[in-house]
Amino acid sequence: MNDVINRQTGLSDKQRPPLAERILFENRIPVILIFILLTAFFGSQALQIEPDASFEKMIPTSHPYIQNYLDNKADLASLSNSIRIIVETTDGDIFDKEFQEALRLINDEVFYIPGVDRSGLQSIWTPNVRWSEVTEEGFRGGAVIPNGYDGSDDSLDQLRLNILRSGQVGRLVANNFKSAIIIAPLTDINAETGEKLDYRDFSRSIESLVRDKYETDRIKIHITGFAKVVGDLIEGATLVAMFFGVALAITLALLTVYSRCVFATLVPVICSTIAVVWQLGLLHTLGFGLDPYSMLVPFLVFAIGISHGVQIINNIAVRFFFGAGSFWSARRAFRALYIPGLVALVSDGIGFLTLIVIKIPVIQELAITASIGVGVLIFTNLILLPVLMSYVGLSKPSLRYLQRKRDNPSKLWPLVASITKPPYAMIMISIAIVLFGIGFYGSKDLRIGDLDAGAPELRPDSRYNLDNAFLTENYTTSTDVFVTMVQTAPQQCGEYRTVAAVDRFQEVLKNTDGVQSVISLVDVSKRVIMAMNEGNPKWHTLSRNRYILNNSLSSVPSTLINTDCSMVPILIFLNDHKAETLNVVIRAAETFAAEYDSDDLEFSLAAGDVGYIKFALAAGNAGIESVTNIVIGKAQYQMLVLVYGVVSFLVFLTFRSWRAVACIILPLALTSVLGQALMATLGIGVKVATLPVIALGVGIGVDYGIYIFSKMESYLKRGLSLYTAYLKALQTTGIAVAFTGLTLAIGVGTWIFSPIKFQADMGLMLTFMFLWNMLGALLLLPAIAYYLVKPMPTAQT
Amino acid sequence: MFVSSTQRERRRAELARRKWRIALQLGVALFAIVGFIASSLGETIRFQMLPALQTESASAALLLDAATDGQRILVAGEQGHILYSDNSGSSWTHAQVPVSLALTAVTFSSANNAWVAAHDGVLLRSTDHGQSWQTNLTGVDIARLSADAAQEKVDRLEAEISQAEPDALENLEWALDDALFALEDASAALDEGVTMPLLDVWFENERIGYALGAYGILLQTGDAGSTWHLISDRLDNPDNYHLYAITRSVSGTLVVAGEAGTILRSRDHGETWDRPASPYQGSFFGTLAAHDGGLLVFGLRGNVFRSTDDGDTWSAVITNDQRTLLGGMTGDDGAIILVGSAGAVLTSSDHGTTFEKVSTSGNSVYSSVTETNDGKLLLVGFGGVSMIDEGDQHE
Repeated sequence: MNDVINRQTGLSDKQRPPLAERILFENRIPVILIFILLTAFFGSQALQIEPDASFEKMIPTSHPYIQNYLDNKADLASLSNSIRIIVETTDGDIFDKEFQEALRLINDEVFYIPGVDRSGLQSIWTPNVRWSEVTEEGFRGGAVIPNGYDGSDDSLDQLRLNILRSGQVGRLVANNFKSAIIIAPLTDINAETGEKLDYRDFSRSIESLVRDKYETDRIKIHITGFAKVVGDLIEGATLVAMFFGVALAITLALLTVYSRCVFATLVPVICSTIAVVWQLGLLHTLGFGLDPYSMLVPFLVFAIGISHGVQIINNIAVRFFFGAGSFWSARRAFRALYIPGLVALVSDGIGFLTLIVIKIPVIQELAITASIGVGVLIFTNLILLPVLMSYVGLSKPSLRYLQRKRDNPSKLWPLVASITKPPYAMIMISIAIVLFGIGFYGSKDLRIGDLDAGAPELRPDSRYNLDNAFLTENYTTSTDVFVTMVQTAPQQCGEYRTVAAVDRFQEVLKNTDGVQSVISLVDVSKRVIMAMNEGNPKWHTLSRNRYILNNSLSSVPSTLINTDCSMVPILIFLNDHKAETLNVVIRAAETFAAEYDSDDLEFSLAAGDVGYIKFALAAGNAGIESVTNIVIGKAQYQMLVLVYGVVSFLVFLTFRSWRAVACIILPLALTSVLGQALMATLGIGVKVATLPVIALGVGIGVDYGIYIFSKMESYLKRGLSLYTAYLKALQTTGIAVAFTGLTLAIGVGTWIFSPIKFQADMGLMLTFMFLWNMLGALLLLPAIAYYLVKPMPTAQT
Repeated sequence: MFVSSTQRERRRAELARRKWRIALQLGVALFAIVGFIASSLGETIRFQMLPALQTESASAALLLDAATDGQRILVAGEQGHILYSDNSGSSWTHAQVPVSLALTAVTFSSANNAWVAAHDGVLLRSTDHGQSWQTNLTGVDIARLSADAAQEKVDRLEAEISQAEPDALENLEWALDDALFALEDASAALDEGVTMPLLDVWFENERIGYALGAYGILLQTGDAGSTWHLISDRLDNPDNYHLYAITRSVSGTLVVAGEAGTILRSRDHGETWDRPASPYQGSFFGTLAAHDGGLLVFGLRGNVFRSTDDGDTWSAVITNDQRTLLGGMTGDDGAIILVGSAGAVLTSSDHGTTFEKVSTSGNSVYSSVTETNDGKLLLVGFGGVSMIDEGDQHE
């Protein structure tokens, strides 16, 4: 047999290098030129990328309950997305000329801020806020600000009286009369310009035009609302750039220490950075913006890039050390790694892409963003990196370092490799089983949704959460509203049987845990009927007489009835928006619907055709969040099944062995379970912001297993024992795995210092998962291999 | 006035036509009601006719009336809530109530019997000391009573007209005209759904009782509610003003107080009623009998009037209070307590000649008041039950 292997090419004369290898390495200059051109193009695109966030991206828009909300969105404008500006006096109370003047000016200022739905603006200075009382002659009423208000003591006394009669204490005026609220509903699309609301701009205008302009020693401004949360998130997320810098520096330093070679340090960093540039550029080209919730994706892409880069550099270095020369070292490393590298990256990408099944746009966007990034890495790190390395090779100091390491091989690796031997393998498996048990037990407490009051994305002591705490402390009306929409045929929302059903529903919901109060047109109707009967509470009830009923409904404010009387919202105010509370409420509504559903009164809760009357869930911030929780609760398992399914399938395709699948996937599963337990322990709920972290962990972790297993397999195929094969795999690939695991963990660990709580949480989770995935691949994989993988029947030579 | 015989003929023919038209309407209406009731047994849910929910919030809900027999306190209010307490209001138990209508009044008629008035013309009765309640009368029953009464009157007038002297004929025909209108109203009520809020119920003893309410409804029973008689047409209440409360003076005179200054009086156990000159045009929401034989009416914007001559004349009581008074009680010791909107609580220890204000912490609307065994005042209204010590905290 004539199979003389060429020392340089690593091939016998009869063998031809793979096509991809020939195309790339025989046309290196054009390849590099194409990369430079593409990088220039995507770079220019990336510079134009804008932060992008919207309320609707955060919600499961295809869920039937949310469809209900979207169908009625126009009629629910004032409920869906509004901000509250609380103007507080630190001196005396609000019945003060100076304070009222400031409140009036702020009210007018807010009126003109783009994005504010002017017709829905509410404060004691807007004409839609009124008072009324009953006299012998009938009703009296008017705007809360008295006619001819001039700031005199008399008119301030009148104002005080009007506020008391208006029932706005606890709602627009604080219970202690030391502050007052301006509620500004926002429009997602500006009706005049047709432009989408820019949350960063809006948040900045509120800051500069209200907080900065009017805050004095005596007047404090507090601002709450979804738009402010997002604005603060975007402001905070720009710090990501800084964390990126820090992580980059750490990576550079560690790479230098590891490789002792300037090229081996710079090339992976440059290639991974190019990947990030391409990814951002592609996002902008495809019309996406950068959402605060997916700000971390570029970072992950960079991390994965470094991880693969180090693998390739490591492979090149070994060949270079044996004198293959820079060109052939790079070329042969490419040949050795492009299959496992491709599989690993495709697994990552598909793993991320499975997030798309979660029908929440922001997560789907994250799925696309992340898979694009990983896809880009195939080009920058599997192609460009070896091509670049083929020019530069490795420096002398790094070779000397390699030599030293070779002369004094680390005592650590044989120790680690002994896990493939009987007692240790058994011990390792036992430890893993115990950890699984702990993980499962711990993850039982994992909760869906928000676990804290306020905005859990931000830190508890952030200005936003302090403002929010001020609001809940001083006002009665909760800001957590769960809305049920009652739909009927046009002009029938005020019929007796409709309002009687609403009345009953309210009575049931009022007596549900976590519900503070329930408001709908029924309350207005009762109040008006009572008032029409001279204020006698014996008339505080609905009337079967349609004239009386219709008359009473004519005073219902537009927030509680739509224009053609086909929909009335029932506002359910909750203690908080914790997941538990929301679950109880949604269950109560569903039970009610099931109990009273009939041909006439169709209590279908989802979108679709209406019988006579339909109780449609759900709107309001709490309503939407509870539906989001439902979707996430289902999605989290769906997502895990899919991620593991896809990754296992790809691993199986590569190695054609279920044993390989078990060796690679089981350590990942341990990490996932422990990750969930960690979330539960740290009080991090599964929500839009945190749901992807487990999938990301799997996607990133699978790389390690694939690289180690493929290396080990190649040695096994040469007839080496499991111990030796694994030891050799460790000494080559294992070092790279350990190194990247540590480097990335430290880099992502910097996020823990982010001012944004959810970024800090994600940082912690990812650090944990990087480390555990690394340990799992190095320690658990070989132990499982001991039981599953038998040495190959030696290839006869 | 001379009316030609041809005119009379024409008029009579017209009345006959109308009579048939109304009879037809009435038939249709009754048919509709039967359908309505039948359908309520089938698909359509009539929420307010469902049993009341025994909810936690009930004792803090809108409660409209309270009553005590010295042993048990009953309170009733919106959503069909009836609660009872045997420990002076320290704890409350839900009663079984077959409807979830707003319940406006509650009273004991004897040791174990109690009555509740409700919207939609419903009267509830309990024979087990208020623990469980049954529907005794509904708005449909009342509408039938009023249709029957109108029909009876039409029949009687027609019989009279056929035998009348020509001189008396014209007046009788006008009366027939009115009766036909009443019949038309009754049938319209049956047609459009029953809106007959009852606002008060009161029993003289176990057998004889009265229920009254909106649009001048007055019902009387002499057999503990087995049969009720509609006696509204005995009242001089041409505008059908709402009737809010009934009481009986020490001398046995019945007084009904109502909307727009309405005061009605009967000295013969409800057989005949007259209408003494009213001192006020605003509404009266309550009336009380004082132990000294005096009578009180009270209502809108703090107006209180007192009569010492069984209702012939009324004089204003100066309270210096503009808050509307909604309910009240005469205590066993003769003390009079009035309660109302904006936290109004007034007490009188001289049978209602003068009143003192009791300051209350709340700004609530109190609808009614009763006394507990341990001498406290138990107030009901928006926000449910609240207690104050009598004689406490006079302003």
